[in-house]
Amino acid sequence: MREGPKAQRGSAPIELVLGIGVILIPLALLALSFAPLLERIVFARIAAAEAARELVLSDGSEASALRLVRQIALNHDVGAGGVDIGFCDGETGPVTSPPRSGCGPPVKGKMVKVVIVTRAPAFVTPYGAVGGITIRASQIEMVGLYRSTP
Amino acid sequence: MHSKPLPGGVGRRMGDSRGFATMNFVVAAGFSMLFFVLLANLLVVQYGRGVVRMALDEGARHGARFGADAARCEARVGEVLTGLLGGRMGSGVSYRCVTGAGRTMAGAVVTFPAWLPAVPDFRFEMAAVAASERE
Repeated sequence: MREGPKAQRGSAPIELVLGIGVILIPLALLALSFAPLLERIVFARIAAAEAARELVLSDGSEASALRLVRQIALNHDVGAGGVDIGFCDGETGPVTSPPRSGCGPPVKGKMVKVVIVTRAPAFVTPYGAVGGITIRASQIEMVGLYRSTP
Repeated sequence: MHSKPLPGGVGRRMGDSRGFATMNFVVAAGFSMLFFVLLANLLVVQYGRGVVRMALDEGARHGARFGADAARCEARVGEVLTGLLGGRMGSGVSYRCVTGAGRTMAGAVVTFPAWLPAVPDFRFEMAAVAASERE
């Protein structure tokens, strides 16, 4: 039986390839997958917040909020087809089509709620995304008590 | 010239370790470090993207307040960038704000230098929009 240093012999190129393939590349992919997930979460939160603000600042038009969410999706490189929106506990639907239900007229002091649902890739590889995680964000805003418009 | 082996076979063990292992190790370690630097560069760029994104959102929201204008938005973007992205990376960000039609928009053109000579710089554009407060 051979013992000592001979038992520790190896090939550095093979070990390098194995080390990179088994440890470094999966680690890199994991690290690179984390940022798109966070970006998508930020997108959902911002879209929900801005849509709710638009609802209480404007005349309560859901169409205006939809336009704003589509613009935010464009800014975040998110396809608008993959974003759903819901108003005031109503059913969610794609932002590319008219809302299925709304919040009604913006009565002073009324609470409006906007829900954004989108998906983020679970794992990003050089050949495309694998899997997906559903992200949901909501925002509640109150219509101004002392606003001059109805 | 052959030296007398040391007690315990130390000399024989040292003799078996001779070869080009050092050269192989240097090459392997060099490539590993290059890969590590590239990975670290990508992570830092992702941090920079996050900072620019946050600065634009913050600026757009700031400029969307009642009575605020594009200058306030740009001032806020600059404050956030100064606080979170100084130095060489921060100097690669140019931005501007536009207000109007019930919206405040902030946009940035970003160039982050790559850390390795063979890798091209990271260039991208970002934008943010906020609903402006109105009478």
